[in-house]
Amino acid sequence: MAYLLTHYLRDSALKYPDRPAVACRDIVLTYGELDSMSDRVAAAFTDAGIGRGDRVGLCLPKSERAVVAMLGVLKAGAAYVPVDPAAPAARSAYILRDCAVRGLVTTSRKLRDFRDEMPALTAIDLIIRADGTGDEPAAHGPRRIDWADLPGDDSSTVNARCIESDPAYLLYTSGSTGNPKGVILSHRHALTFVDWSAATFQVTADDRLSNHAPHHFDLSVFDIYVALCTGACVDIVTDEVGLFPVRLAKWIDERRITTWYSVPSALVRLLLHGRLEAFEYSALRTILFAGEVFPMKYLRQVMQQFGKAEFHNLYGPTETNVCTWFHVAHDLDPDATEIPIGHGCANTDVFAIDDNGFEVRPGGTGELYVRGPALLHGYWGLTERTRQSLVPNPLQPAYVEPVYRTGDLVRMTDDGAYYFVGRRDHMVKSRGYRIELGEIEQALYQHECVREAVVLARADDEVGARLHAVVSAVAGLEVTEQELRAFCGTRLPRYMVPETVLVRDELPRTSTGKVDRVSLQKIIEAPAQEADRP
Amino acid sequence: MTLTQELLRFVREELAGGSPVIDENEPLIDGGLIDSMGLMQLITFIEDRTGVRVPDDEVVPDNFQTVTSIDQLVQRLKAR
Repeated sequence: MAYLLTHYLRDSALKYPDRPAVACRDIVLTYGELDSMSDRVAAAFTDAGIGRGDRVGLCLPKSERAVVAMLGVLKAGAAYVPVDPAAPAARSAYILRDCAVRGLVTTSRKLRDFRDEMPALTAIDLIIRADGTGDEPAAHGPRRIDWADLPGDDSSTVNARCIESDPAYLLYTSGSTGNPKGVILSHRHALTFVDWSAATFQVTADDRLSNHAPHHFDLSVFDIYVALCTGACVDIVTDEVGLFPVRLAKWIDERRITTWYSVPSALVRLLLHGRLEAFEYSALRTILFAGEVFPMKYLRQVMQQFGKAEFHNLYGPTETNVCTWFHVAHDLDPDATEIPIGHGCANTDVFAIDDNGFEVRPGGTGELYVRGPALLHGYWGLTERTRQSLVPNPLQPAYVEPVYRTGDLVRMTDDGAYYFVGRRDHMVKSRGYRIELGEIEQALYQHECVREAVVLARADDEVGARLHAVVSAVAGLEVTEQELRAFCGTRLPRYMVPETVLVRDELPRTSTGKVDRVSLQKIIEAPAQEADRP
Repeated sequence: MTLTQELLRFVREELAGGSPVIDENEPLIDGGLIDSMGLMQLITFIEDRTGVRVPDDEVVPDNFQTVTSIDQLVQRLKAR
């Protein structure tokens, strides 16, 4: 019986010990090797007293070792917290501190970046250096183990006491109050999605799944765990391939990828810069996309390039992973200007509530709610924020059943499918990343010269949204756009740094004295039109 | 300012969050300084600054390992 993510590995390692489980560059780990390597990571954490009820941070580039580390943490009974290795150290350290990680798997380079942050990470008892060769002297601070010095394979370290509702991982997403918030996701949450995916897309041990998404992004849950669940192989797209569209196109063909999953903007980039016509991609049979709206003109072109693959639009916030989906047929209506997000996945119920509190009927518009075992447990340490998102089911008052309010507005069609309409708040998507404009504004406010800051998004076909800030300076102080962008770069991941920052003496006001976001929006739209001129 | 100096300024300010310690041999890809967004901005910067077009075929790791390799790429494209 599989009720923990590690059970997928256990079962596939028994069935297919010699088949490839994880590939990265020239390295291939078989199921047997993955099982045994992750036992060794688990043993290191167990020896350090880290297990059920604890969290372990993962801050390392995508590699087969990153996957080994995830499984090792889970085998020890703890939950892992993947953080973006490219994000500023201060933001990553905030995350590791916020959920009080007791262990950390990282690299020598990241440890140097974290040097100033380490003293504040007081809960850490053990650091595993994934690139460590065992020949560097130990430093001060928490105990350190190099990858080369991991303890021997001892499968007795698997924590047998875990249950499906224990947290498996925490994913941090942008928070409107200025700090990222940790979405707590259980084994049951992940299994609900993985089991549905494996069955729906008929993944088998003969498949080869790409892993394009970063590991702190929930799309990677599909790549890794659907592979483990079915005995397939997950092939990791590293930066020296993923950054370069021409390389990536060749890689998809050469590695005989059968199943691809990414944000639409990654596919658009491949289309515009990858010279896709150079290869046949004869193995590729499934292309899944999620995370943002796929602009129709590009979707049609991508579908033409990959004529043999089936396309599916998956929808869902991190809090539910995927909760609805839509199969995009190749005979797509040529007049269609959008595609639906579709119907609820198996074992997941979705419904919409309108502004008057009534359930939305065909033709109506309202906020999408999700119920089922795939929901988050809550936001780490944020009880009030959790209460706003996980609310009692408004459709049945007999007992308390938490359902998730997505904040997404949807329209229901006659056949009960949904279309995404927009957001209720200031959250935007850029390159598939969720971005709370408020988090960027809060970062700008930390600069001593900033009196007021407003961040706005401009719609863009290639990346979803481009970010622009308008600030007013504190009287008597001067600050430049360059300074402010560099300042944001030390606090925010790159995809959240505004492309332009306009510095004004005063911001426009509405009649009630509030900052006039509408006229600011006009200001940021104006130069864009100029720049777009051929 | 030479192209190398301008590239260094771009890398420090745009890609490395204002870090002054970066030189022309800093590994940009292995060091995690370039992401897909940064690479696009870097290409736009090169094209605007030098007037050469960087064809998709030249957007490969070898040409973007360090500021020095980018500089060599631009010289090669100029000579075409």
